[in-house]
Amino acid sequence: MKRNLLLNQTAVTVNVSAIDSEKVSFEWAGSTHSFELIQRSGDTVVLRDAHGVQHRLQVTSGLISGCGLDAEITDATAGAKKKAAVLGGLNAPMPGKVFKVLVKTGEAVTKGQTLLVLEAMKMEHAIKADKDGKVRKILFKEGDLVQGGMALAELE
Amino acid sequence: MKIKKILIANRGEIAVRVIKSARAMGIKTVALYADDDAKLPHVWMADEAHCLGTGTLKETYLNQAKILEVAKTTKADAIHPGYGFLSENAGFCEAVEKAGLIFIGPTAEAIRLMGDKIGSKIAVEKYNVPMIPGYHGSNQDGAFLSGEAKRIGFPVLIKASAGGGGKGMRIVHAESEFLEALASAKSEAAKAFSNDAVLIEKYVTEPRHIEVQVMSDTHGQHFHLFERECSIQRRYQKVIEETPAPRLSAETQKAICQTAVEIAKGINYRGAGTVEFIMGADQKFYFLEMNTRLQVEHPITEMVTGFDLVGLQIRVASGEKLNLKQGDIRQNGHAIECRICAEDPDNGFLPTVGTIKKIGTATLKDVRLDCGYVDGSIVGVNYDPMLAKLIAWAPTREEAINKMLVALDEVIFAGLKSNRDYLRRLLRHADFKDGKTHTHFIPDHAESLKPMSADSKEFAVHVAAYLLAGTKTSVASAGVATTNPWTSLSGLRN
Repeated sequence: MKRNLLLNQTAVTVNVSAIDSEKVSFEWAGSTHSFELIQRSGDTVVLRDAHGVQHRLQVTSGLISGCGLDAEITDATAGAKKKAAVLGGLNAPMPGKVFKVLVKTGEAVTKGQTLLVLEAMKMEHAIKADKDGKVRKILFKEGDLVQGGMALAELE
Repeated sequence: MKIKKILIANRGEIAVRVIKSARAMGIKTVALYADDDAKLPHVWMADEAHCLGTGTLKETYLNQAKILEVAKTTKADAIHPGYGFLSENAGFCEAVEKAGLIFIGPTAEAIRLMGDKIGSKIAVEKYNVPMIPGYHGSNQDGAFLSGEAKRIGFPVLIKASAGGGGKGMRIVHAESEFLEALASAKSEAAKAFSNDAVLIEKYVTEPRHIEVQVMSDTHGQHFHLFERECSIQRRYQKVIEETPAPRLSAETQKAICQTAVEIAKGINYRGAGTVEFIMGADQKFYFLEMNTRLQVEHPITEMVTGFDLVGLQIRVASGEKLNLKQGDIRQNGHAIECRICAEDPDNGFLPTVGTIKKIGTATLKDVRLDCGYVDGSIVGVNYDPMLAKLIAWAPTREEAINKMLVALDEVIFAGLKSNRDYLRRLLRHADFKDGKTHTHFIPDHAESLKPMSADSKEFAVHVAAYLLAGTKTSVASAGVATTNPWTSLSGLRN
């Protein structure tokens, strides 16, 4: 059974060969892994691998932390939209205020040119053109408050 | 005068921190909060809490008139400003004292003197304090400054004299680049501080940021509580701090601490302060500036010395003569602090926002979490992205690093992207382990500090955990306040 996951915002595929409530075997990074769930207390889970080595992790709503690493894991179908909304070229990377609008509708812009400056968390963030083109629309004016993920401008 | 009630003119973790020390001394506390902070723990942990309404910082936490009014109605007899906000505002200090209240901090005069980068250098020069070669005068003519830069020798650093946080700062490697860099530094400084005056300094290569904690009472006693190394920085802001500083000879340590005490003595300082130095690879150190307040990273000093710095601040503010000798203050073991921030280190350290679904608990001894949030708290755009400070103490540096790595594994901040994983990469970096710290560590090691690729074999166990347990716990743990902030000071050693 193939499972498509989003691990730290990257799409990955896992080939699961066997799974029940306590054991799982799957292919990952070129080799087969088997783990057994041997303890579960609150958010803490202890897994034992095929060599008898035990791994302690914390599992909390999408964040799997332990063994010196954080992994944000969700099913790819659920996470895909979120990723697009957050990382889309002309979207606000986080909630904030439009500090400056540097281009006008109809203006020709080149890839990498700063279109707007967003002010958020006491810092300024440049929103740059992701391609060469013409500004079709600037969706906000200076001083407007925007939510994270909102489209700020459209290019054609 | 004995202080009976302290109003805390701050928010979040530092307000919580002050409440803890005040409570331990039998002193009542008054918390302040803006509307969007109403559910934060500093609000319900204090004995009283008063709302500052809604609006910009100027209308809330920086609203001096409103804060003084609350102090009056609650009959507080002292105000603790924390760090940031009004802590280094001489005008506020004066207003507090004019209202007949105690300002838990230095005199307005000391704040004003040390707040001016040019003025402070001129003031401390007379106490035999090593100064970085530079020009700190008032002549701001471009050609003149260019000549000064040549005299000092390139590379030089241009800095806004009223500045901080890296604004209005430029490194210039050659005379031909000087005037252009000067113009852009000046325009940035004018925008950020309404003052375009700059100073020029020799640029120290592989510089380390080493600071000394001082504490002065009002009876002419001036102490140091040793140094802190704060070289691991991004955007000129500290990320990891430790004490003692690695690779510091006993001789240099003695000299740098003594220099800090001389400055405190010279300016007749009062309360807690920090003298910041820049140190080159040759262990030569130069005065940078003095912060006239409690520092964010003060807990590491508490861990190695066993002193409660907020407690000492309160005792000094009430006029007590500290029953101490310099020799009583000892540096025991090693402490490290990591600043856990809501930010994405792999995307330009861009701040992140969201709801904290779950804060993990540290289980090892001598680990302390100073945190102003609880499960369910919302981290928004209006305040600093620092979520918490994680502090670990152990007999040696190596053990402290190991303990911190365990603590970072345990103290998760689920629900929003934080720099925890990045902090672990820093701590595990071979150069960090070797104590090769300097302020360009993060940019210089950008390549070796990159995240593990998503298809690395190291993630196999995480994938297994997700497949076996991941989807079932997602609802159960969300939004329930299970963290008890009262337990988080338990790592404070006495």
